[in-house]
Amino acid sequence: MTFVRETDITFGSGRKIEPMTVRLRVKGELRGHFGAETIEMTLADGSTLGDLLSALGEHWGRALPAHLWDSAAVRFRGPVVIMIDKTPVREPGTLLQDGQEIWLFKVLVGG
Amino acid sequence: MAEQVAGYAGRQLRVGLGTGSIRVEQLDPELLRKYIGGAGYAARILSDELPRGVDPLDPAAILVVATGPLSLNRIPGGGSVELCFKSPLTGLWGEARAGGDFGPDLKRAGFDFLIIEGRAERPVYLLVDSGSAVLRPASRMQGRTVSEKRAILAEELPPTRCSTMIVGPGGENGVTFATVMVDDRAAGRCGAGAVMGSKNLLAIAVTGTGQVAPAHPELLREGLKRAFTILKESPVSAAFRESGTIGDVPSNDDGGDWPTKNWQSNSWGKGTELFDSYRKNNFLRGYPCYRGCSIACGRRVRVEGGAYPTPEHGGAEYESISCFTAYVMNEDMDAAVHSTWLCNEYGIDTISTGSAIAFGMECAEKGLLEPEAIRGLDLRWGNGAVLPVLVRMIARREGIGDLLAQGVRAAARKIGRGSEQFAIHVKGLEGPAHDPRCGKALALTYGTASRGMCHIHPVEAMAWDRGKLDWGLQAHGLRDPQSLDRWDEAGKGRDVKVLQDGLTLPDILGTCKFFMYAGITLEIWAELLGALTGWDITAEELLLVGERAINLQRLFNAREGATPADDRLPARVLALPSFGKYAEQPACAIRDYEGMLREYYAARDWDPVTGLPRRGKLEQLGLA
Repeated sequence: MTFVRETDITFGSGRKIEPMTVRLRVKGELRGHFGAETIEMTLADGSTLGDLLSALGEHWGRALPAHLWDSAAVRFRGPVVIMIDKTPVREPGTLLQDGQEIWLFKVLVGG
Repeated sequence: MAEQVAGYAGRQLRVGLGTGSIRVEQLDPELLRKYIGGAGYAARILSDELPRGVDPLDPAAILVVATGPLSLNRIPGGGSVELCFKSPLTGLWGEARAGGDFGPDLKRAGFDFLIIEGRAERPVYLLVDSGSAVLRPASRMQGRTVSEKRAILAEELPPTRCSTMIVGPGGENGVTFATVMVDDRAAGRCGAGAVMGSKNLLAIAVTGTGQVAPAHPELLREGLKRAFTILKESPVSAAFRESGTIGDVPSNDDGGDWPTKNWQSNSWGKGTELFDSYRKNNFLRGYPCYRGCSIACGRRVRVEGGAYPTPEHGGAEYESISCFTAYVMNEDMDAAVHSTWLCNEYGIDTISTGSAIAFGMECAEKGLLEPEAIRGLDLRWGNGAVLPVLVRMIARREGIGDLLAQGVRAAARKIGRGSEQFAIHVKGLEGPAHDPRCGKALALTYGTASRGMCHIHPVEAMAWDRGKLDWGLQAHGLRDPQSLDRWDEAGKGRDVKVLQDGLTLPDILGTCKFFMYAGITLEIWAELLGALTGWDITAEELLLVGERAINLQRLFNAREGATPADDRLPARVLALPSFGKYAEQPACAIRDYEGMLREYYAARDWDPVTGLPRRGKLEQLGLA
């Protein structure tokens, strides 16, 4: 599945930025809601994790149930983990890189 | 004298409270290899030394405080300790685990196990300090809350860092589900606090600087490096750190894994809203319960102002909060956080307390309680204001609290008139906040776990069936959870045996089970244990130790009067929910529990009539 957000985005600074592609790997319970395990996404070069979450919200926010997606805060709710290169990431300002593989997990934590 | 096993402190402390005797005993290496430690070793001690049929609160009762060889701060999950005893709530095998530094600090103080016997004439506390121990008067602590006792202790203890176990007023008053607070964590279930309180032992403090020496330091270092790499890359570790156990409230509610209104349903539809309220108003930050924990699932929380002002504390665990929200239909998260904090202050189990209150509310709704007993109390479902009132009444055994303090099984026997039908327990232990109508294997683990309907041993079934975790146990005969539907029933009896044998190991090794969820397999535990002790030990042998412990606990229960009838679940837990998201989903009801139980008995080689291990099984396990 390929989702192209924009190919040419103007940020607040007014500068033109080239696109980049990241690949989402959607695991477990989330996969059913996204409709695929692998999703190619095109974002503006220099995009951050926050930009990615905004894009996910725009296109899948309605498909994601409330127990997994907080549409007001534009973030996953509960124990959903985002990992890049085997490392969990959570800061919205985290810069993404072209060609990165980003894994999404819904993990069970109730004790 | 037999040679000491590396990795153990090598000694146990036997404390006779009646006489004030304190004796140091060397550990038997053969016994260690066979039972390792924790709930395995303690099962052997209690089976051999506890008089059959003794009242759990009699001076002759025994309380075992047990570490495992892996209860070390540098081992993943090593901040762990077990209390084992005959439960005053169930009359059967009693076990309560807690995180924190107490386990590692007991080993630093020079001991792997404490065996507590007798009853002190007056309240005392036990100080274990660098290889020796002393009993000191504790009359000043009598009747005080846990934090008040902690403050008194702090004035008297050595200036070195000490870990403590403390009983609250609940334990002193014989509440059958009283806890022992281990620093700010609870050894919550089965009434360890009542046993300790009945002995007039109000606290235990341990301190020391001793270190156990591993047999193969380099191998241990390499094994730990591998283990911590797994944990660093584990999404489960990250999720526990980010969300704590409470993080699953929204999805468990949605997934039918959230017992609601005293188990009338398995979902409520309020979980997301409640979780958001907690995050916005109560959550402060995550924290590790012991020094060195890489998961750090603990939550620091508080309630600012309002009707339920509550200081910052470690709490708001999934089970506790669920029992004070969904169980009683309470939508006020502040009331829930406050009430669970009060439970810890008074030293009573949040799960059994919430369950008892839910049971009481249903009794009140059905007009089964004497008006005099509940005068002035509004026991309607959803009344958050009554929750802290009832917590105090239970801990102090006042009014209706005295009845509920005996647990729902005993309370229902006294009330009668059909209340037994909605007293939700197995073997007398109230049910925790996971629902087998979300995944059928959980029904079997609830039915057959040694201590009853608990939240530690059975929950692996839910995590396998619904969460699709396998802990590497497919290599040992467990089926791939991805190949099964959570609502399937056939065949799961065999899987449950493997799950139980494997997932009971953390409570024997002295580690936290969450580290298995995060990717530490039996193979890795075996590698670490081998490097520590010098044993040539495999995952297969560990599974056998797990199976041995489960069978020994089964025999203990049988001699105390348990029968296969005690492996059955309340009808309400098996039935279609009466409301909620799954009320129209017939597949979620448990259709053939008896068939699953037959499969399980066969897999365990237990006689279907007596429920006891057959001769050949006992011989195989060295229990004949």
